[in-house]
Amino acid sequence: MDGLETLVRESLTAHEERAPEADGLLGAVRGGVARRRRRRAGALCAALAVLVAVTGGVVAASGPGGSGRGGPGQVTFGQGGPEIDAPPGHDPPSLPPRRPPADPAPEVVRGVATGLSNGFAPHPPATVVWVETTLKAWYALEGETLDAQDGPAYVVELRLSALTDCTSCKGVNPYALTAQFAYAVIDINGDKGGNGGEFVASKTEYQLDRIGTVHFLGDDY
Amino acid sequence: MAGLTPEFEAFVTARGPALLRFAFMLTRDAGLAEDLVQEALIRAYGRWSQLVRLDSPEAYVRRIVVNQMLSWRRRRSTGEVPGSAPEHGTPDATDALAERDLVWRVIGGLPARQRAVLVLRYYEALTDREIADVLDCAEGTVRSLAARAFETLRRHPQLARSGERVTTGEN
Repeated sequence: MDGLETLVRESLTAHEERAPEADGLLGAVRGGVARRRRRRAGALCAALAVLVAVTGGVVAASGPGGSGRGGPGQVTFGQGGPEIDAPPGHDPPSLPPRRPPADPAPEVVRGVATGLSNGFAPHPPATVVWVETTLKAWYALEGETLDAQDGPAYVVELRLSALTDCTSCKGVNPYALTAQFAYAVIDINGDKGGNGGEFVASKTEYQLDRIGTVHFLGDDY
Repeated sequence: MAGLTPEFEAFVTARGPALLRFAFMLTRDAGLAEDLVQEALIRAYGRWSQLVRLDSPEAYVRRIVVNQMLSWRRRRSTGEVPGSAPEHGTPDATDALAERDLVWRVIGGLPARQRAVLVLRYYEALTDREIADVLDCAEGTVRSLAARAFETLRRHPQLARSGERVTTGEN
């Protein structure tokens, strides 16, 4: 080690005493985790309101004997399209079986897309994508662990044009959610045949291509 | 208040001070260091069940800290200028304390990735391979960043003299 290297090491070590104390660190982390859980819980309430309002009608409409598929207007993206690699340095969650990419969107996905789109104001032009995945894969993408039983799920992503307020959230929560990305997670085998789910409003995007084939929804949702 | 797992609480209690010192070395800002470490630990808790199986969960948290620091630095310029320490009428470079302070200030003016390499190599004592993992780059890039950092240090008039004094006999 030459003289300057020694100086660098000594300089760094000599200044470590200026570093902040860790006295309040554990409490701050506890608080941060609690706030994160409250945000998720609050968002879930709002989402359930949206999902119940929207998907209840959709499920009834598709009913027994319904195709459960979208109309011909949907554009499904992926067949022969770009396959996006997961970014380096990240462990991809376990990939679920993939639905053939040419399949149109299920009714429940279109209904949730409508509900989400109507839930944000100002009502922006939005791009909606969705994937068929598993609850476990979604939680892994969020960096969390699924405590409940795993099962198939749809994740619907609304890409808003800018940071936007969730109007539906205001009716349920004492605070407004502002997001550029809104996600509805539909538990396909949930208690109400697809009505159960989770809602996440985020200022950053989740890489849905890591948990399934990303399908673009057309404008007829 | 959220209940953290006992293992995670033990980790924060044991390694929190070291993580704060590390973040402070990177940022030179006590408040920012606290923010970086808190956010990194909150993120780490989200996947603690996986991290706890790693040999060193701390390495993962350190990586989050570095990446956040680099990200935040991209969004705001500190206005620091490399080698901005005054050249005249300030601490005598022959004084060891003044010399360390001068090095500290010059390091503080380095680009964030160069500074991160110095902190990881000379404060955390990581190998270039380990530093490359943290910064998600090649080992050659780590060596290049370090070389450029030392080039800046050597160009500083007072440090050049100090380096000559300290490195007498070395090439």
